[in-house]
Amino acid sequence: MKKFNHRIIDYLDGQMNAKQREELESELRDSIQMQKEFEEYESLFNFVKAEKSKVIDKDYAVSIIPAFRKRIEKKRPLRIYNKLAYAISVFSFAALVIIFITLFSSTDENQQSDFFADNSEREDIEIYIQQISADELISSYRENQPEILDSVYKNYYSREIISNDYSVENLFAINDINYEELESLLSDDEMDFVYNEIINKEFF
Amino acid sequence: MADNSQDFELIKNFLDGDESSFNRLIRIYQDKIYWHARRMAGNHLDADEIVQEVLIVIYNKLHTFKFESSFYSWLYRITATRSINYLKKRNLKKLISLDDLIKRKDDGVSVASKIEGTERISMIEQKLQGLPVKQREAFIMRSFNDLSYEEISEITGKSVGTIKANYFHAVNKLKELLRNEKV
Repeated sequence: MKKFNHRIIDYLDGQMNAKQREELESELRDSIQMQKEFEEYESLFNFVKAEKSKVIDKDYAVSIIPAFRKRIEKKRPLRIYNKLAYAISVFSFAALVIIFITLFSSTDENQQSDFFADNSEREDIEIYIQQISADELISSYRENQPEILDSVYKNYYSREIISNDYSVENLFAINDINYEELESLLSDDEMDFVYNEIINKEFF
Repeated sequence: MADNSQDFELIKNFLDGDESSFNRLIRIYQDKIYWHARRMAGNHLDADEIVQEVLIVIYNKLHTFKFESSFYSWLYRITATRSINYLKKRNLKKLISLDDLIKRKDDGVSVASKIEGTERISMIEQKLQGLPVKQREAFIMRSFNDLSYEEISEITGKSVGTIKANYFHAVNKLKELLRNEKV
């Protein structure tokens, strides 16, 4: 059997059939303590009944709906702005990344190309230097600009003779070339110059 | 409970773009939504806030309503959920609000006992705030809205046994609270 207070609740709640109601009413008649208990529950149910009859002001919806619609309207653009702001920020970030990568890579490429250009230039020069031997240079000058070659020899031998007190013998000893060879290399003017220098050195 | 066909027609009209149908639908159920929120929250301002939240949810989710169950059950489920969520948020705010703690220490008067706007809090509303949320919810649904245990079970997703237990506990506790009030 259910607890007495549960039965009272069911009774006041309209959850009992006629027989159950009669049984409870009979028990109540026999016990003052039960009656007291029942009255307390009944009092609560009466409070609720009184409260149930309360109705809200008819204009409540009139006041609440505009406020709610304002909130809806506020939320809508906010969502759009949020999405827009998000899209802009993502796009900006992507653009920044692309710009950064482009700048960095182009700078790098430039630096690399400069580097390679410098290197290739140096290498070319080195190769050129290595490839062109002194003999080729001389023969080239002899063919194309013999006067420059003559002046070079003239200066060179003059300096050598003057600075080292070379005699004609010594002079011929230089570079292991003989007189005929020297004569074939130098022009008449140069040979005159050489002789003059030797004479000046030896006799004056 | 309102006529389902009338509700369904208003919902369809609203979904077809007739905004005034939504207003009419709300007017039909404004009492139910407000008083459930008011009794759960214990004051008018919080009830207002809950009602607005409920309306926003209904407005945005009405297209998901399946015309299989009653609109009232669907609406009540939203109202019950939003009310409990609101109370959780409010309790959390109270917990972290120093001002609120000081106020409670200073006057020792329940927030629910104060006059909120033009609506005075009744004694039973005040006592309801002394119940755990689940018991309060079961009591409000059963006593004030005359919902059967099965209906409450459908709305809350709890078993009928749990609902009954919550309801009986609520009634017994309220009876004790009222007894203490008289003394």
